[in-house]
Amino acid sequence: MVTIETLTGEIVIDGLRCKSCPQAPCVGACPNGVLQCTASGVGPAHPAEEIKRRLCVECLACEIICHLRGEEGLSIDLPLPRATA
Amino acid sequence: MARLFEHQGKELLRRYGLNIPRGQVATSVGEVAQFAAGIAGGVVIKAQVLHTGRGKKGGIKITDTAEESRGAASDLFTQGVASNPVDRVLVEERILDAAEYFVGITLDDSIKRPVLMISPQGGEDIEELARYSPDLIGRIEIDYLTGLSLDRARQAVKEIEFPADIAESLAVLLVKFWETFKKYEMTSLEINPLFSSSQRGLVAGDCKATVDDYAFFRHPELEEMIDIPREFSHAPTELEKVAWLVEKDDYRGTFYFSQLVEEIDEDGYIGYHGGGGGGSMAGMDKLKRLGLKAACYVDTSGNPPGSKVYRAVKLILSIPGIQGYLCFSDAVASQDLTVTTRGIIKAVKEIRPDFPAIIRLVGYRSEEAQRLVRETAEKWGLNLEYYGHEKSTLWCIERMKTLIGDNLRDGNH
Repeated sequence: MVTIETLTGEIVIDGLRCKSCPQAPCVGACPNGVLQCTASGVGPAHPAEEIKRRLCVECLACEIICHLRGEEGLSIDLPLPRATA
Repeated sequence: MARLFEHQGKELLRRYGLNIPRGQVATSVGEVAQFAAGIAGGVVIKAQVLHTGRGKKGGIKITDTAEESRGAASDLFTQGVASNPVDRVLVEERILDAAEYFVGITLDDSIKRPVLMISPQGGEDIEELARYSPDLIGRIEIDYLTGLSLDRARQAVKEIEFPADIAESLAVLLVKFWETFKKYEMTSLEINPLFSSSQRGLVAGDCKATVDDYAFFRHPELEEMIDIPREFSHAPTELEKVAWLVEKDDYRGTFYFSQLVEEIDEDGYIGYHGGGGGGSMAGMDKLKRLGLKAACYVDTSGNPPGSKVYRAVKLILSIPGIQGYLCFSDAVASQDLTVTTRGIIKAVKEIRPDFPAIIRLVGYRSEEAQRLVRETAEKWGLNLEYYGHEKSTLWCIERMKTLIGDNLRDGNH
């Protein structure tokens, strides 16, 4: 699993699924070029801090297109904060 | 705007040198009785709720003995006030044989300035007084830069004919009152009644204070007082607290979440999600006109990321008892509606509500957003529909009613 931290969550990529995805639509869907195809599937195209602070705008394009046209190997985990009493 | 509870507002007044009654916040009948036992002359027990008109709805009890205070406090804790639960009360000494005045500051949008209002006729509804006896209200416009001088305050007190023996102390109080308002960047501050007694001088009998939520970040000292810097007429619900945590540290766009009913026990409630104030409010009106009810008022606007919209929709869909989800916004030029829509799709896909969800978003890239919903709804079997400018909001509400009817017939809910 590859994880990429975003401002409020995390992109989780299952490389095994990505390897069987010929199109990798997530890479082209990202407006800021966060992702790239790698030997092990899909991974970050920039340094982690750069992605978290500037490049990933959490538009969800990569996840929706991956689940729609790809192999559902990429998901964005966006936890809800917990309210304290 | 974030409203403070009475005891919190009084604490801010006290910090600026105003007198407040001896008292304490109590969360149990025992604490009330214990405080009352140490006070000669009885106590006043006041439910700490944000509901207006608390006194007329039984939220304030005057008692003569500690035993009486026990019963009165028990009533407040068990019965609540106007459907608002009461988890804390303010128990205070009674201020006896006192005249009652009014002082308040509010922002007057028409002149873009704060206005101080004072009246020797306190203790009653100031709007009513303004209607029937406007001559009994003094009105002083204040310039933020120059503030309220003691001389100006003296002049105001003189013009409205307060008793001569309290004129100087009232003028001094008004200056401190203004400084409190300015220091905490309030949008309104009111003491009604302001007691005047020969023994205690001027004492704030009540306090209503509202802080500008956009200024909240400059006042970390208020964080312990205000759970959520938004104007609510009730104590924040668990969902509202979570929603605020989403908004608090994410500067991108705006997310507002207000739960309008905490428990739904009848049909017709919808999770309502608007984008931008005016159109959203109009949508709420139409919803009501056609016989549906909003369980919440949620706004995501100002170009929020998909992640914020997703969290907003997840919270809406988790409201127990709703029978549908509606997202309305018109003429959205400032945000990419495919981003907004992706947030909604992700939430609906994960939660899979057993009720219909309808989006009506018109604006930048709405046609692409509509195609995206059609494609995802078909592929994933989502109970989600999208309409653009070709259908009116009224039509969408009628469509929602039809889908709810079908849903009930299918045995859901």
